[in-house]
Amino acid sequence: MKFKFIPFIYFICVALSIQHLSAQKILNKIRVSVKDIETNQPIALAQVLLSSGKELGVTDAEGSIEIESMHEGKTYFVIFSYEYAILETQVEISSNNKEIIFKMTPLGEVLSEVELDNHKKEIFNLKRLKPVEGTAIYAGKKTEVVLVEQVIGGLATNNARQVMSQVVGMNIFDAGDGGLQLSVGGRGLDPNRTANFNTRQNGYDISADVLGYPESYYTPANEALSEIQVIRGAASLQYGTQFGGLINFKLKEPQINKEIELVSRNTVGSFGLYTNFTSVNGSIGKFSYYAYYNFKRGDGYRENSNFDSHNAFAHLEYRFNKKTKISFESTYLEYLAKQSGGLSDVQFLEDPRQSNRTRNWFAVNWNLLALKLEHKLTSKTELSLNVFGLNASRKAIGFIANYNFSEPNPFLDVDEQDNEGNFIHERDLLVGQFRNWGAEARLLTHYDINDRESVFLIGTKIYNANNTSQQGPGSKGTDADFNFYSDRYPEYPNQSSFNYPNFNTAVFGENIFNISDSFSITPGFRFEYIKTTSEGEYLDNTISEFVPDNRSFNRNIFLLGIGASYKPDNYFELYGNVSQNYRSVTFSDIRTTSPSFVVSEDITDEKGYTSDVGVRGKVGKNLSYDASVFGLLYLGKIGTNFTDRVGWERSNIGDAFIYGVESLFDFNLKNIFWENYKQIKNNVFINTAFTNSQYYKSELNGVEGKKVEFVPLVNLKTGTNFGYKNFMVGVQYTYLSEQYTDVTNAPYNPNNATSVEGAIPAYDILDLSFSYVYKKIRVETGVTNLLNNSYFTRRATGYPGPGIITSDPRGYYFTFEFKL
Amino acid sequence: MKHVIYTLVLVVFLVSCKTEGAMEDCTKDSFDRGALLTNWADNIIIPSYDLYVSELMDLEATSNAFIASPDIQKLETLRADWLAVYTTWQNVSIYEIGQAEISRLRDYTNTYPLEATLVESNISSGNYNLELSTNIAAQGLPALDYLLNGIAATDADIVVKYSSDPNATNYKAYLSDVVSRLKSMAISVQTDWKGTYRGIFIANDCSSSTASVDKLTNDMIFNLEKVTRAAKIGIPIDFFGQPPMIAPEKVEALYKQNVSKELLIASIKASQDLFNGKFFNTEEEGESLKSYLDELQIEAGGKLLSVVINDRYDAAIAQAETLDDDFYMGIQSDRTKYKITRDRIHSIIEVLKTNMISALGIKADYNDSDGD
Repeated sequence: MKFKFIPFIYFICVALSIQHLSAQKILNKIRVSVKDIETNQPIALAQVLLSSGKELGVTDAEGSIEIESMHEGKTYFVIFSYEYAILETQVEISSNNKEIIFKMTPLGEVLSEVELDNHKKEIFNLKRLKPVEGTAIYAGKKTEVVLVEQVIGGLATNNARQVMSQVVGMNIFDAGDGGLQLSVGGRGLDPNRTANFNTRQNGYDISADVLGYPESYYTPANEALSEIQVIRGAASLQYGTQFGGLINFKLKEPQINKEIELVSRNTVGSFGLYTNFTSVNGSIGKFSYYAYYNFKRGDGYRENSNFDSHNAFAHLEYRFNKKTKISFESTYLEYLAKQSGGLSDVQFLEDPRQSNRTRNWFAVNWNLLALKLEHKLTSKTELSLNVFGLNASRKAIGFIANYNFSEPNPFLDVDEQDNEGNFIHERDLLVGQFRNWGAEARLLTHYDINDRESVFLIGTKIYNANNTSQQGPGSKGTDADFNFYSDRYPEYPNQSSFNYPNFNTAVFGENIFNISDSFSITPGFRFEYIKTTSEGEYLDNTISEFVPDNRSFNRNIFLLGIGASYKPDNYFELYGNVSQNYRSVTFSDIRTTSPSFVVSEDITDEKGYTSDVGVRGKVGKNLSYDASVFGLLYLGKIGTNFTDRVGWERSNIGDAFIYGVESLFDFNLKNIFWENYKQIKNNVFINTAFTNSQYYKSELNGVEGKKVEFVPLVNLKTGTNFGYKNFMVGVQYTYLSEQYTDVTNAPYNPNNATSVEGAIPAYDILDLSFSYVYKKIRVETGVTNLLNNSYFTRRATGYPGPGIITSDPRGYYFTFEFKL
Repeated sequence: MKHVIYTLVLVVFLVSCKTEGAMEDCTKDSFDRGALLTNWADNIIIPSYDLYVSELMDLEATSNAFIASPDIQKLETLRADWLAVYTTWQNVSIYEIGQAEISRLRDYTNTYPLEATLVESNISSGNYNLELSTNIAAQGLPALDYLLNGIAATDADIVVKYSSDPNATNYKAYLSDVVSRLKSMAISVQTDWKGTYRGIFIANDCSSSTASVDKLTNDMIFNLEKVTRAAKIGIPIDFFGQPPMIAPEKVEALYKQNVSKELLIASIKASQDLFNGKFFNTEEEGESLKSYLDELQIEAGGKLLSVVINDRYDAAIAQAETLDDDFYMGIQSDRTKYKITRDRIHSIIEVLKTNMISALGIKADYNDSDGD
């Protein structure tokens, strides 16, 4: 391969400067044709870009594309098509050339994995820093992208620690349930069910209820993903308003030049793990499809645990013409898991495998539909419309606590059996149903201000949810019986039934103003109207009667944000942004299920700001980096406090500040040690987040001045990947320093047998992965937690514990894949 | 631009250097919480358990003697031993921490009102497991109250239950089982305190929700609120009822009838003594919540907060002295003076639960039952 980076960058600089110098004269239509250098046949579906990353379009069946309003002068083009070497070339554009012809060189018969990886990475690097993609604006934001196909280990097991190893500062619950439940957080936000991120799949919401119940029970199989996109707090304007930002799971796209491609992967692993992933995709004329089925089962590492999951997904798309595309997606997930409960510190040290919950079950059913229309109104204006709906449920049954005691304590109470071995307590059953639909429309247009291109985005979203939750007595049995037995056990103390009608509309806009050739400012806004309602009743145990509890909160929220980007050349960018965020009050914040406390009349959304300032780019040809500092101001955290007037009251009680330095450095060692070996790939990455935090105000005693929970000071993930021809190996080391789990900063106490609170000790994990490809066959294998460290990442206050949720010890997996 | 990168690399480096120090062990203020915990453990809690266990052993001996040959005189001795245990229990009740918390010592020792029908059905069937929580209201000191005072109308008839009654063997067995369960639970807690737990308790001298000072202070307030105020007075007089539906059958020591006041006063005093760090059964005082507040010079309304608190304890005890020995009758004749006593106890709780814990940076315990 002739391709070298330095000259490439050099040319880009030259191209950029020349392009801008001669930016005065604008020409009309130019025809660009792309052909195979050997056969001279036209190449369809080749992507044509400017070196800035701006996409001009995709070639049609005749291998050509018409480009409007090109500037006169030297222009640097980049063209790629998956079966050809990337072509970068400089062209002199003048008023008398009407057509430019590019000739591409085929990549050759069979590429090794290393070559293919390098090729994909090159393409990705060309595209990644684009300020605009489709109908979304990324300028000035901290964005991170995981190229899932390049991840060596942890795909079949949905191991977020490995798959998201290059996303900075991720705090992950290593649950060891075959990746059924993704729980990631960062920057001091609770990882539980990824609730502090706006979680999307191919751009639409997948959580239970975006505002009132932002927990994500479903996330797609990693084996089906092409990218995981993460945009930090500044995503609040265009997406959800969560402090964490956006996580978007981008699934693989159908192959355009094949009618059918079948991939089947089977994985076996430690603790009875078996998974099958089968996908088909292809295109027939203007119609394309991608579908997968994923089965998982496992026994889990601990006693009393197992799971069985079925997940299916289909994506169908039809391209009417170059301008209009419609796609339809359907997702199904159903799983049943037996859960072993939590442990105390004493029990964990004694034997992390033990379990004292023998009849706790959890079931999820998730059905998502989405319809997306993408339409180019003109060459400068694009429109997209997403309509999506969810019909889902989550059901949890299990022994919670012993209500015969004066102070039932889920952590201390044992699940008692009588002399005949029958359980004497009815189990607690909690059923949530989620029915919601939403639509999001976006319009993005490019226009000029003083001959400089500006980009304007306007969008609107409407979201309507109708969810319910019911809690009450379940059976005394041991099976996964999700029926209520309220008639049989009317005295059961935890009984409630609520409806949560929720309505939300939003209008949002952003605009990129290019102040100079290298400096842009992107201000934005978001206006939301939210109506959060909770209607229902709960059993008041003091009078043994159901008491109604109806609440409705209407509010208008106006958020502002601004981003700036200084990008003097294509290998350096200084970016910064400040934006407002808020976390909507959730259903559980505003309803009461006990007469012993009240919800404050003026309880309101948790508000705050996030800001990033950072640099990203490349130093020489061997180091790429993204390093930034961030600050997150969290105002009005909701909590429950004792006040002398009313007793226990839930209200906005605390303010916190979380700040840190986050960086990802990637060194390409291949260029240093194996420069002349094109069959070798070798890189080292260091992903670090140093985060500190403080509650600087709190109405709770003993909290002011304490650190925020879930903030390890050091969060390090580092590793190296080495590839030779079709063989790849990856080593990854993860280290998180100690983190607190409660606002009073209860320290780690190995003698603790009575409390759910306590710090999570520092832990480190070493993972090793291999992959090898031979023709249509690929095998992947690996060892997770090679050091066999006994550790945990979570202390559950209630479900699915309570207590320490053990993470897995050393484990192995082996995947066999074939492609047809 | 290089400068920016160098600066960032430097920041990363500096922050990484700083991490060497890691997290501080815990948060503390100027007061020596270790000394407070040592005083609590060595001079108050462990001596309380020592006396409680030795009294339970006496009780077991008299109970065994009674079972061997029941008569009225032995019954009287047994009742006296039971009352001694019950009075000392009012101190022990507060320390629901460590093994006591794990084994639910308070619930199994003193849950009342007793389910007398459950006791009788256990006795007649002879098939019961006192370790199950379903039998929580059929054992402990209230069960002894019933077995020694309530199973028959006269002392002679009570003795008959244990001698010539067709079920006498079962009555004896139940009495023996209740006594030995009380004793074995107490001994296991006492043994734990004298073994490893004393050290663990004292070493946990930080300030957080799991720290010993925070937990025991919460226990003390909880005991005063739920055990003293609510169970002994508030519930029997139906304090919140509109209109009140008094429930005299819910008083403590219902069957003995004339010791409710004694037990109430013992309970308030136990709380006050713990607050003042007063050595168990002596007049000496050591480090305490009082000395903690005084060290931090906490005041309320121009007076030291500790003085305000002690004044309120004294007022509550003085009011309690005006009550009848027998609450069962007293509540029915004059509810108001019970209500006033309840309010006096509540006024102690108010100041403990707001002024005191906020001065000491102690978060009030709360079990959130929201689930997932």
